[in-house]
Amino acid sequence: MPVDVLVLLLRLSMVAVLYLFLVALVAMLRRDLVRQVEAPPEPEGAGTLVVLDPGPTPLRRGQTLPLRPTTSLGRDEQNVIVLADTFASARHAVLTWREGRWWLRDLQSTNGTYVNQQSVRGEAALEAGDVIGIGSVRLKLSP
Amino acid sequence: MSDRASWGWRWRELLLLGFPCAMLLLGWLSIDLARTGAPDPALWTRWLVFVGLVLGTHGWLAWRYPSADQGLLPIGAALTALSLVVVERLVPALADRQLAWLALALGAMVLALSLLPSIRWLHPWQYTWALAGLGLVGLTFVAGVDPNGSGARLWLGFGDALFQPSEALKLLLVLFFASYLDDKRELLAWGGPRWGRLRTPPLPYLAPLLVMLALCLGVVILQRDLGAALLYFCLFLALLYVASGRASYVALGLGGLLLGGALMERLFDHVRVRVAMWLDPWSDAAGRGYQVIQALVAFASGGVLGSGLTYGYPGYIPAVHTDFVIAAIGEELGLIGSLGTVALYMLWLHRGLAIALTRRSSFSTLLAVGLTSAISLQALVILGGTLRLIPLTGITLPFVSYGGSSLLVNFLMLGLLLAVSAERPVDRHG
Repeated sequence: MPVDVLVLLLRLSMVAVLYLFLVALVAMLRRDLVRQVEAPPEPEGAGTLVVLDPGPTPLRRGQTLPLRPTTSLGRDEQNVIVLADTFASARHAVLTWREGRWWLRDLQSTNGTYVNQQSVRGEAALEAGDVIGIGSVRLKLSP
Repeated sequence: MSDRASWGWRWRELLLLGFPCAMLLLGWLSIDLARTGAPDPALWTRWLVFVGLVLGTHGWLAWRYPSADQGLLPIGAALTALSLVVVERLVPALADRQLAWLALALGAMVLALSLLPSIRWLHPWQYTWALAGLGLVGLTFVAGVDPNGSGARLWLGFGDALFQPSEALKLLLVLFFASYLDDKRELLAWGGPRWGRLRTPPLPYLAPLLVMLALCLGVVILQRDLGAALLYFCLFLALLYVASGRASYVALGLGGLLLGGALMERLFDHVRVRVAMWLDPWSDAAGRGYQVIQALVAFASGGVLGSGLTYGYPGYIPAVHTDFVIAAIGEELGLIGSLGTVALYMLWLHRGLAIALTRRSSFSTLLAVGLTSAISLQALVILGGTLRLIPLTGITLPFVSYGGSSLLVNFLMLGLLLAVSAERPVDRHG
């Protein structure tokens, strides 16, 4: 085969490989998207908190606390969920349902808000089973 | 996005990495055959070095970051393979140097990822990042060198090697913007005073950010690095939009950009030349419009399929192996080659934004958007300039242009994006 034909074929196959690569990438992106879309949708804004450890509060272990789309937590009586724990701030944290999931926001509380023992700075997305820690109270999110 | 279903080896990444490796071999073979009729014996060793570097990084990721995104490294590798082919074609003497820079870049990425305690760790250092970047660029005023006589002293020399601090500032600004805007997100979304239907941003809370942005823009504009200035500003707008969700801020920002551009056109000669040569390069075709016209001619003569590697005349374009590299691709690999390159950047953008959307903390989201859009916007700025769609502002084409600091910073950004994508959901059993 003459060299220039070989050169032409090599160069065109290089570009062809580039396009095959693009196709493979797009196929991968598509698979990821489809998997996301097909994941079963969670019910809108439904969920409960299960008390794992009531700490000094009058809550009972195993008690379930229904959530509202915006649920405030703290020591103040005005909160949806009142936590009578001296280590909880008056307005400690707020749970909101947004974009199909629960978000936990720490309201710059004095002693911090924890998810699975990791401190929440600003806002964190939650998943079912995550354990929220405020003071010595432990609350588990269940759908 | 992380593939939580299969936490085994990163098979998809491994499969995808085969393509860039094949591209490099085919491209280099085609160049050698066209030049001398036979492949250079050293070609195989150099190719194996590339394959070794890429697979080594892949293996390390499989060990340390098994859940990181599997599409990013192959995209970076494909763009780098294109770069190595084009540099070998244009300036063969620099090809080995670029390969060495790739080794350094991947090494730095691996080192940074092993030292980084967590993505969160980057957050509190916001002013450190911004000031470090500013300091680096400031150094070019004192010790800057201008190796290619472009009239801009943008580089710092270290013996034989050159480093362009404005590339590093790009990464440091992403870190600064993301951390700062994450802190002030609520205030931004709330907004400032209203003017009719337009809500202005709450300026007092944005002041530190704006001062820092103005300093960075001032420094790079004084250094005549217009491409970097345009990139930083667009990056700022992109992140401001993601943090606030308000399109009106972007409209205001773009208005400011036009106003600032018009003002600079009045004030600075070098800006006036850029605008004039964008509107009508043929008015000074042999002088100041030469580069733009030669690039257009290169695209035109390449046609759809291209002239073939070593069969075109990209050597007529000044700075063809750095800023104007897409013109060489357009001439010798044709429209199919340049469109393929653009498609790689589009997939990078898609991949990065998909990562940003699935993050669990707003800082990670902002960081992912910043890292993704820095690369994409930079590609947009130089591709638009080369094609005469916007006034030409010189900047490298990410991963593809010859240039060590550019490659180094781009791979560091790729690495950070990998780390963001690998952030494990908060441990459920902890």
